[in-house]
Order: sequence, then structure tokens, then C-alpha cells
Amino acid sequence: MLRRNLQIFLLFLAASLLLIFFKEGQIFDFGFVMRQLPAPQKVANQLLNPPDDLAESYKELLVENSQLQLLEEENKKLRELLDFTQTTEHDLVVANVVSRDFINQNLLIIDVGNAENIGIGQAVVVNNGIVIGKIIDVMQDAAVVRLLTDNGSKLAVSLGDQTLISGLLSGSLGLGMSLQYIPQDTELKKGDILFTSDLNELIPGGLVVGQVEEVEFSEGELFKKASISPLVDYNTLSLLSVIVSL
Amino acid sequence: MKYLATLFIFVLAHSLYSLFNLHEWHFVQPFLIAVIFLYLAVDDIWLHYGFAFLAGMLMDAYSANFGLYTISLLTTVFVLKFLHSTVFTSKNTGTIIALAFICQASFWLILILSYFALPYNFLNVSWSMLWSIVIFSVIDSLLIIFLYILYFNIWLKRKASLQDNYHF
Repeated sequence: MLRRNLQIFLLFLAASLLLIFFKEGQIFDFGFVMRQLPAPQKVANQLLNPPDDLAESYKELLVENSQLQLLEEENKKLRELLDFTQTTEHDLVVANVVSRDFINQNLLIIDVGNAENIGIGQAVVVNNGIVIGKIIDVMQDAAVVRLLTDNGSKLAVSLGDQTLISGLLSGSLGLGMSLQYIPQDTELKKGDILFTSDLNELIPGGLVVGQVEEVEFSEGELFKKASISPLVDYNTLSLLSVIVSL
Repeated sequence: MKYLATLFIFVLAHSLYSLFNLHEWHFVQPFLIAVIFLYLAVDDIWLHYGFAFLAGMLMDAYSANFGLYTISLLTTVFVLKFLHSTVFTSKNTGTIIALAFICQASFWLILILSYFALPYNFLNVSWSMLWSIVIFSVIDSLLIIFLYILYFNIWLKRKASLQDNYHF
């Protein structure tokens, strides 16, 4: 009994490891197959709401209306992105958010991957070029974005027009961001805008990151600290773009 | 009937977790509950591992770490099976309670250990997160026990009485 249990466990474990290695080697992405499965909500809706005269047409119109509203919103975001792509000299790839990680909500899964030249370390932006995170993993048809609010996020930033003065921006408990290693003699006040620094390898300098919320100053310390608030709501992200080349 | 019961548990647990918005983990918990319940309700070992494998793969397709949930669920079933064959050999309520709690602990332990093994830190390990896991484990275990008792009393006993009537 124990032996049979171990054998079957090892068999399934080997199958899952093979699928993982296939994915890493970009031979076959099983996640891609799973993501193509029909959405369970649609099936449930079809089963629970069979077609019915007026009530059904009313529901269809409601759905159509909400879809049009979503399209309008998407259109607006795309126009903003289009403005940004026309004004910037970097190559951008537009992506949709597929899901968020179940345990860490600061990790997003987007629907572009290796095929679109997405690479680890590239910057992810929204609207008019506001940086929201970095790519940390790439799959065949998807990529993982770590938002700037995540504890593990680190980004070199510069303050306002003082491009030479830089600090290190890190996530704070998944809720906000904190800026560290700012020299004590640096003028820093609430409302100052932070930009990406030229020190980041794959991220262009001068992109907007966030706004100073509160400055912490202590005589005994070498550096100042500040808490930073994002300029966009990270909970409602749906359309993003990745800067694939500088 | 057993499979319908498992599906029902998944839908019920998913709805409850969505309703209360428990730390946004309402996708993981129902699968974990369904895997453990399926183990307790069905005797086919291939089904235990097969279901855990498919459930894990589905979760992995939408998570940041491909393979993590599959391996965690498979290991959980392995631990269950091992304990059931060695230490907890009976199927009384005490055994079910012990197995449900141990499996929860095993699943979350594997997930937290993977924090150190994976190339990038995906978990924000904190006391509040660990506390949430403890609360979830208790809720999930109670749900499994409740459902198993329901299943045992409504389905198995009814089946046994029908068989008795047939014999006499």
C-alpha cells in the first residue's frame, strides 16, 4: 500500500516537473492550455439563465451596455497609451492583466510573453508613462509583473528635476512605497514627483513613478526617508504596456 | 453522487470565501478543501492524485509560480495517504479531524518553504499572513469535518441501510 502510494505520487510528481521544465525550456506551456479553457462563469450563467423572451432581451441589453462601458473605458486607456507611444521613442508592447497571484496580490500575470520579446527586468507602465512595476518572470504566452508596492520591489529613482540625486524606492507591506538613501541635505517636500533614475539597467530614466507623501527626517541618521504614494490605483489595473527596448 | 458532492463543496467554499473576501485567497482554499474531501470520500488512489494534479495545474496557470500549487497539492495527498496507512488507520471522526488539520498544515508549510526555494520572493511572509493561515486552516478543517459528517450520515448510512433491506 505504502509502496503503491509512493509510486503513484512519484509518477504525478515527475509529470508535473516535466511540465514545469517544458515551460522553462519554452517547449510546451501547460498553463497556456489551461488559460484557454472556457471561463466557468460563462458556463454557469448559461446554465442558470436559459433564454427567455423579454427578460432575456433586457438582460442581454444590460450586458451589452456594460460591455460598451468597458469598451469606452478601454478605449480611453488605449488612447492614453497611444499618446504615450507616439511621444516616446521606446518600443512598447500593450498587455492585458490576466490575473493576480492568489497569495501575493502584488504579482500580476499579463498576456504577453517570450513571443513579444518580453524580458526580465523590463519596466511596466500605464497611462501616460507612469511606471508601476517590473517584469520578474516570462513564460511562453504570459509574464509576471512585480508591482512597486511589493515588499521585494527595488527601483532607483531621482527626485524632481534634480536628476543627479537618487534614492532607492522599495515596496512597503504591499500597500505603499518608501524611499530610502536620500542624502540629508536634499530638499524634499510633500507633493514632489519621483522619476526613474538612469541607473536602472533596462528602464529608461525620467518616467514618473509616484509622489512624496511624507518625509521622515532624523538628525542622527545619514539619510532621509520618505513614504511615496502611487499616482494610479494599483487595484484596478487592466491594461498596461511593457517597455521592451530603450 | 460523490463527484457531484465534491463539485458542490468547491462551489460552496468558493462562494463563501468570495462573499467574505478573505485575503483574496478564495481560489486556493476551495481546491484544497475539495482535494482533501475527495480523498476522504473516494477510495480510488488515481482519482486522488489525478484531481490534485488537475486542480494544481489550473491554479498554476493563473498564478505567478507555475508548478507550485500542483506540487503542494500532490504532496498533501501523499502525506494524507501515508498517515492514513501508518498512524491514522481508522476512519472515525477523530481520525478525520486529525487528518484535516495535518493536511492543512502540510499544504501551507510546503508553500512557505517554497518561499526559500524559488528564484524570486513571491510571499510577503509576516505575522499577519501566518495568523491568516492559522485562521483559514481552522475554518477549512471545520468545513471538511462538517461536510464529511454530512456525507457519512446522509450518503453512506443510507446506502448501507438500502443494502441491508436488500439482503433481508
